[in-house]
Amino acid sequence: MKTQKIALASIIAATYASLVIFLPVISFYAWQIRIADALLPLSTILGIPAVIGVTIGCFIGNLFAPWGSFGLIMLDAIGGSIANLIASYIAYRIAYNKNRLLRLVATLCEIIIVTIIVGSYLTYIFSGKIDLSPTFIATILGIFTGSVISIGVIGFTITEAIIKTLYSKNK
Amino acid sequence: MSFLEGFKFRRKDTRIHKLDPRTKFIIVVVYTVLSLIFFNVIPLFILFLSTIFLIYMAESMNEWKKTIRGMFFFLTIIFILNFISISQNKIDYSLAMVLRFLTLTSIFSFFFLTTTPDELALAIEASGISRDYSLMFTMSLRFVPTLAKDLQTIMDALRSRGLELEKGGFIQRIRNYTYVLVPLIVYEIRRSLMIAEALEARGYGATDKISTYFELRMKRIDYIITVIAIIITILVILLKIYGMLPSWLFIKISNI
Repeated sequence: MKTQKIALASIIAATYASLVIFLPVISFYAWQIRIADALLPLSTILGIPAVIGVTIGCFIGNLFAPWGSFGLIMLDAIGGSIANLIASYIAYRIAYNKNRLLRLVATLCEIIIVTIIVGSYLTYIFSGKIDLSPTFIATILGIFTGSVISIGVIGFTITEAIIKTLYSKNK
Repeated sequence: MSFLEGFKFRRKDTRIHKLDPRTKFIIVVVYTVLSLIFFNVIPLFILFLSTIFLIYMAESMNEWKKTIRGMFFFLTIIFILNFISISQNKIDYSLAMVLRFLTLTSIFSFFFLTTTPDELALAIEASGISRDYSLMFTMSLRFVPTLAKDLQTIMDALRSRGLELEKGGFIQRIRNYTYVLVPLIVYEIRRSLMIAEALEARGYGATDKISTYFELRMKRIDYIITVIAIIITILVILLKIYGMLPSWLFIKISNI
């Protein structure tokens, strides 16, 4: 792998992790808006390094989140990373270097994938099974709302803004 | 600086801390598997007690207590949600799920409280993952404090221009975050180019074989623990499949 990609991946990982750690107020409740998730659509413009970055970043961010905020963090470290990996990889396959419409589709896919994966493993941990129980619906709805705001609204906006900034300079 | 608090690994000289990180990881996997196959209070309670014992051996009770205290609200939610959604064995089932969650959290905090990032990186490398990825991992760890400073700088810059980050309605706040994130990400993408240059200047990737200062070595105790843990897991799974586990494990709390 080229050094430039390694550097980009680790910087994105560090960004994700520091957003998880230092913007903790809305990050760590069961019904969470995780601002760091706004980095997920970046894989549509930065490619594979962003995919690896958000995966490692989610792991590290959960690892070093301030102790005592929530016990959920340790399980989130692994489950969240897997969700991020799959979601951003699929977004990369859909819309890497393509037009805005496809980027929007990719973002929507990410929202759905993250909601389903995180919602399922959280429900499984809470109740030991996955079915249409109130637990499952409450979890799914909570995560879906959070994801729409962080990945959809914030993520898509910043991706478009970054494209504008980067294409004029060094891309 | 207070925000670096989370990075302080307390190096302690206990038997647990001296174990190979791979051994500890196997312990975590074993506990995860065991706690996921049981739905009864007593086996999960035994598992939970043994995690406490492990944490006690690692002399990390204080850190663990803090984690558990922070989880209290969450455990209540798990209990209530299960209690509502189940039609029979309400108390038993909800209690079992709370215990399972406690076990999983304790065993994961056990791992991360006793393993330093350096050890983790070495373990990643030793388990056959390419050096590029282990470098990425350690590098991201190293850059988190730097990123935190950048984040602070950008927020200060925005504040000095009169943007009030913490004020306004819900939509205004969300918009404020985009004002913070765009310059941050653009700046970090440029920073990554500098890092790449620095890496190349130091000859990264020039040689295939490198030598490390520390080396991970599995000791005899590591092998013994790994083998015992795996045997116990397989035994329990087999006994569960053939229904040969002692019946007192499945006694219901509500019947006593």
